[in-house]
Amino acid sequence: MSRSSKQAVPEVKTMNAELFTLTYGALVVDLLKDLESEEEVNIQLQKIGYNIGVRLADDLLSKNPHIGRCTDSHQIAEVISKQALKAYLGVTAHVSLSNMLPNEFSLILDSNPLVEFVEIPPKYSKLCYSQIICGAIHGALEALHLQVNAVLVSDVPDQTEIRVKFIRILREYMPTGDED
Amino acid sequence: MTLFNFYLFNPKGECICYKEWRRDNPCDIPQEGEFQLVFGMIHSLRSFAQKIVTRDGQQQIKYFKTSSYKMNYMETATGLKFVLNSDPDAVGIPELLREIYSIFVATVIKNPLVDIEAPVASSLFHSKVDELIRAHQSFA
Repeated sequence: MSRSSKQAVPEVKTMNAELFTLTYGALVVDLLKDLESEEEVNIQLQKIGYNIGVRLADDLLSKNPHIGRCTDSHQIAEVISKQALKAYLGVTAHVSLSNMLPNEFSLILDSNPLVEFVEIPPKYSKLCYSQIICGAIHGALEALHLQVNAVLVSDVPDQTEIRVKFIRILREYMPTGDED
Repeated sequence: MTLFNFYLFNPKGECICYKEWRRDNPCDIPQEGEFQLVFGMIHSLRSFAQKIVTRDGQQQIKYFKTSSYKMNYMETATGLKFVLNSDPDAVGIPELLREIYSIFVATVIKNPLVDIEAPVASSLFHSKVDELIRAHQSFA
């Protein structure tokens, strides 16, 4: 980690995309073998995504200081679809607001590197393969004090679509003083 | 021209990092009390700024200045608060705070084994920040 005296452009390390896809696939298969129930696997993938997301929020903000505070859900959707997904998965998504309530939006990924070679057999029809992305969105927005619900609406073989719904703004903590 | 000390508060309001390079006046209250004092002041300043505002939009505190020091402040959307006391004429501090933020992200946030709300134990973080501060143009 060396830095020049000016603000250094962070180097983008590239890795083999197939290795990434295969690693994720191996993780899902291992979870299926250990837990044997698709619902349990979905819950675990959500948790793993959540832990990743909580840390990704700070990473994205530190690398992109020009991303200002978002004042409405539309801006948040834009940042996630055009910047965050691009930075971390290398893909963009488009935001769909049709048939949505005001606090909801849908992200439809143009392509999904996680499901590159994947076809889900009928016996695992209840598996939400890309659940980790939902978990990451949930974790990252929670780090930004917004409670949301991110649900995988459709996945491989169709386009991956995630519906995000805002629940509430989380209150900021105050440390307890001596008077309490 | 110099940089005096630095506080880093986590979203819960606890001070997870305190660094000092020059302090001529020793503080007469215990360190824990001093951290709470600084945080309480920041918290009040923020809500005050938001209440008194005459224009729309989120208000960001940048610094306050006295005759002998300038308290620079940076807050992230995730609730991390960076406070750096410097000489009143120091320049280039906002960029410095952003660089400290990137060092924090690289050494603490990205390490999956570290709790991001606990006091920073990473010696790499401490040495990198020290190095950055000492090399800065505003450090005497």
